[in-house]
Amino acid sequence: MKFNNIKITIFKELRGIIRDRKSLQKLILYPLMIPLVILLFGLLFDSVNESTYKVGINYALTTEEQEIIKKLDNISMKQYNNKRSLEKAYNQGKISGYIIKDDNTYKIYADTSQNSGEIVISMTNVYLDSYNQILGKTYLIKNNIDPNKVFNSIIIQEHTLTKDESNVMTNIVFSMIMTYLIMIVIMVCVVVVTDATSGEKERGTLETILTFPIRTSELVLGKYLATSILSFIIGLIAYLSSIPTFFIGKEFFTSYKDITFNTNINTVLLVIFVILLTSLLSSGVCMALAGKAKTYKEAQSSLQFITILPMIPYFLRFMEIDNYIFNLIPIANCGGALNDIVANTINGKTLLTIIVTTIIYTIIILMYISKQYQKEETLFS
Amino acid sequence: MIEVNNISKEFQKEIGKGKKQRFYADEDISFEVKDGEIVGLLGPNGAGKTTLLRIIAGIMKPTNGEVLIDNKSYEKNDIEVKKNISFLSGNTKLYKDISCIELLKMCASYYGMNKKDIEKRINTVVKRFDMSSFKNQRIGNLSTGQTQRVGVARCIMHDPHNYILDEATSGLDIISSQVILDFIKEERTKGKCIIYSTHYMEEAENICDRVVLINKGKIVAIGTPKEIEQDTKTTNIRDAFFTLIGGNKNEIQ
Repeated sequence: MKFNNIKITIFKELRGIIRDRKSLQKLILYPLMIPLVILLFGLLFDSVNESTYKVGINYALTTEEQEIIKKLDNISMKQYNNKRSLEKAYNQGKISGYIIKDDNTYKIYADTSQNSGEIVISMTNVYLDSYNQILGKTYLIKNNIDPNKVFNSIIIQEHTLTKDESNVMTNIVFSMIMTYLIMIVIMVCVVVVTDATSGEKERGTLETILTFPIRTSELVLGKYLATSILSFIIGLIAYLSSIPTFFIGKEFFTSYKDITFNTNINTVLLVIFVILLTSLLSSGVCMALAGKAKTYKEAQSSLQFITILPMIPYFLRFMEIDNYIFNLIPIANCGGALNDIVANTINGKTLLTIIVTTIIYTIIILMYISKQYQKEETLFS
Repeated sequence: MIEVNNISKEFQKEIGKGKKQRFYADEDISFEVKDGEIVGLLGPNGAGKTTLLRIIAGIMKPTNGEVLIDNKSYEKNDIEVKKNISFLSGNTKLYKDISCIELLKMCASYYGMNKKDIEKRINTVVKRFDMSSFKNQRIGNLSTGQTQRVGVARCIMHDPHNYILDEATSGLDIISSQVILDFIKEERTKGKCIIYSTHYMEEAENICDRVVLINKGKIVAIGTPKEIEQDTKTTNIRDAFFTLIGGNKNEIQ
């Protein structure tokens, strides 16, 4: 095998991709998605946490009720004359829900299919429970009964086992970012592979190359390495750009204040290594899938589904499913590993399994590709 | 010298749901092309010319038979054999996002030429095909004629001894065609060995020393244009072809 031929092919493929305006636009846009996602989610989390929902009422608040509501961050009350004016205000979007008081019955109206409706229901329940307790206590005191004996006959103490209060938020944010990171690597592979395989067939340039004194294995390896190199570089840029974006995000968004982005050198190197493994495997999988595609479009559609693979660990995490077998799912396991590495929850056994299986999958895929591209139906389909 | 010995190529085609039928694109084809000779390969669409040329160029393997290029077989050392051939097809496109110079450099690099030789050779071919005015332009911005000149230029970068030309003048204007035909004649005088496939019967009659008429994957006649005309009692190769195969005259230009 001549390394010079592989080098020329790598250079040819990279130059072709970089000079193609549409492909270049994609390569620039993909890594920009990560900082954009970080900032957008910071904005979203802050807006959810800081939003105050207006609740309409048809009664005047007592001093005790006013005190309770003051302590609740997410809701404020506005008084209306009657039910009709409450309904009108709700339909006009001036209030997120309303309470109608009828004697000692408080009827809460809110749309629970909306996030705002859910919050209104839960916060008004908190408010009314608290108010109910105050009324109860007042009654008991009037009747010379110690309210502590009624309400505090048992004592509840809450002890959190959470090591770091920011963990929930950290897991959500990091899961999303690492999922996107793997998706970016795959999307770059799709762009390069479609051009390098079916694109070359469609243009009719593959025939020219095949007449050169180059072995098919050198040609395939050149195309494979060009895809791996570019997807790795773009993945690396995406990851590295996420670090300063997080520090900027911490300055601007209160939701990110408690999040610690692990920039320990070992973690960074491990993440880079997993990105490299993902690039090597994804490039191979894409080349194998695109091999028989006759046209650019056919290749694109046959490659679309693998961009969904990184979503698997994301969903499994939300469903709280943790099975060791999932570490064997190609590509998806790399996404899972990245999540665990940045969250500092990775264990040696899992990491080793993912590394070894990814290397084995890559070798198998490369053997398959080299056989596949020897076939005339692949080269001339 | 190119020797084509008993070449057959079998393919499968789908004839219905999951049903496949075997057929021969080329069947038991033998001929040779000597040094300093242009041999025309003539035939209608689907005759098996492109498949045969792909086999001769070493990019497709025959089902049976063997191709020898300067007495060397692809089976023994295809890389060495490919260094002495050049394949040009009118249908083959070039990389549109690179300049003519970049393409020539890339092609020469595949042939293992060093930088100094590449520079020298580029100067020669740029002059030979009058490419100075557009040599630094991206190929995608060139006219059809200019693109085909670049295509021919990349073919001669490694100064091959054997040429396999498939519809090299297809779709070109008279001037661009003439540039390519002049180049082919010039290479013949240098003792090069050329296989020239074309639809244009008159063109073949003018430049080919011998022609191989092929139809439905089989050779129907082989010889100099004069010999074939005499054998078929016709006055030109076009009429000779129809005498031999019959069929619709509109298929052949």
